[in-house]
Amino acid sequence: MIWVVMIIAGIITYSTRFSMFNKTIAKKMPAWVETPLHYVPIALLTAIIVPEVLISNDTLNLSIFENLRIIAACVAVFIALISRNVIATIASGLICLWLLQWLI
Amino acid sequence: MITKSSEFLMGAKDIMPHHLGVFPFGLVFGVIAMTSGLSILEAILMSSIIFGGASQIVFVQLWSVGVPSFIVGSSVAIVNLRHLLYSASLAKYVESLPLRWRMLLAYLLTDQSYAVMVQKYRTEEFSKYNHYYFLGSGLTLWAGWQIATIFGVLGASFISEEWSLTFAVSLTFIAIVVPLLKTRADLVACLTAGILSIVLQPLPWKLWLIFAGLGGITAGWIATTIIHRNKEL
Repeated sequence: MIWVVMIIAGIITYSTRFSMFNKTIAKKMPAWVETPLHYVPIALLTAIIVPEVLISNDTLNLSIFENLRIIAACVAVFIALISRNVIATIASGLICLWLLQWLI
Repeated sequence: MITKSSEFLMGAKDIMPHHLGVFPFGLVFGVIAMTSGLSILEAILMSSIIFGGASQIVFVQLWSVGVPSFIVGSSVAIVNLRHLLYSASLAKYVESLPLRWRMLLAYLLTDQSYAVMVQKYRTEEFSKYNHYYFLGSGLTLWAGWQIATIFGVLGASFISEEWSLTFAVSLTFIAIVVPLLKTRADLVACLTAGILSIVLQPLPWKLWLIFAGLGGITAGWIATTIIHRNKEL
C-alpha cells in the first residue's frame, strides 16, 4: 500500500516539476495564476519553518530561554538578511544553537 | 572558454553551499523514516521516487500515524506545488531543449537548484550550454540527497537527537525564503502563513500545513491587489 501512495506522490511531484516545461500546458495556463503562484514558496516554506522552530514534543514553547531554537532562528534570519549567503545562514543558525545548548 | 563540462562543473560548484543544509536534512529524513516504521528499501527509494525533502518528511510523519492515503497524497501535492512556480519561472530557458532534456531537468528541479539557476540566468550571460549547468547543479544535489538518506537510514540508531539536526531543515528553508521577501505583500504572505501554521495546529491529519500554505498565498494575493488598487487611485 505504501508503495502505491509513494508512487502516486512521486508522479504528482514530478508533474508539478515538469508542468511548465511542457509547451502545451504552459500555453494553456491563464495569466492570473501567476500572482498567487508567486506566494507559493514563501507561504509553504514559512509554514514548515515556524512550527519546526516553535513546537517541540507537540507543545508550543515560546520561552526564549527554554526553546533555544527561537534565538538561533532569529540569528539565522538576520544573517540571511545581511549576507544573502546560504552557508553563512545555515552555519550561523546551527553554531548558535549548539553554543546555546552548551552554555545553558 | 565555455564548454559542456565547464558549465556542468560550475553548476556543481555553485550548488555546494546548499549541501550544508541538504546533508543533515537527508540524515533527518532517513532517521524519521526508520522511526516511523518504514523499511530500509522504502525509505531509500522514496528519496528517488519523490525527491522532495520536506514532502518526504510530511509523508512519513502522516503515514506513521495512520492518516488516510488521500490526505497523505494531498499534503505531498500541496507541499510540492511550489515546483510549479519554479517550473514556470525557468520554462523560458529550457523551451528550446529537446523533450528528453526537459524531462530530465524537470526531475532535478528543487528549491536549491532553482535558487542557483535563477541566480545564473539573472546575472550571467546566456550560454548555449546552460542546460549542462542545470544538470551539474541538479545531479550533484540529487546525489547528495541520496547519500544523506542512506547514511540517515543506516545510521538511524547512532544519530543523536541532541545534535538538533532537524533544525538544519528550518535553516535550509530560512536561507531560501529570506532572500525571496522583497515586497510588503511578500511579507504579508510570510507572516500569515507563519501565524496560521501555529494557530491551526489542532486540525486533524496535519491539515494545518495545507491551510497555512493556502492562507499565506491568499493573503499575499489580496495584499498585492490592494497595493495595486491604491497605486491606481
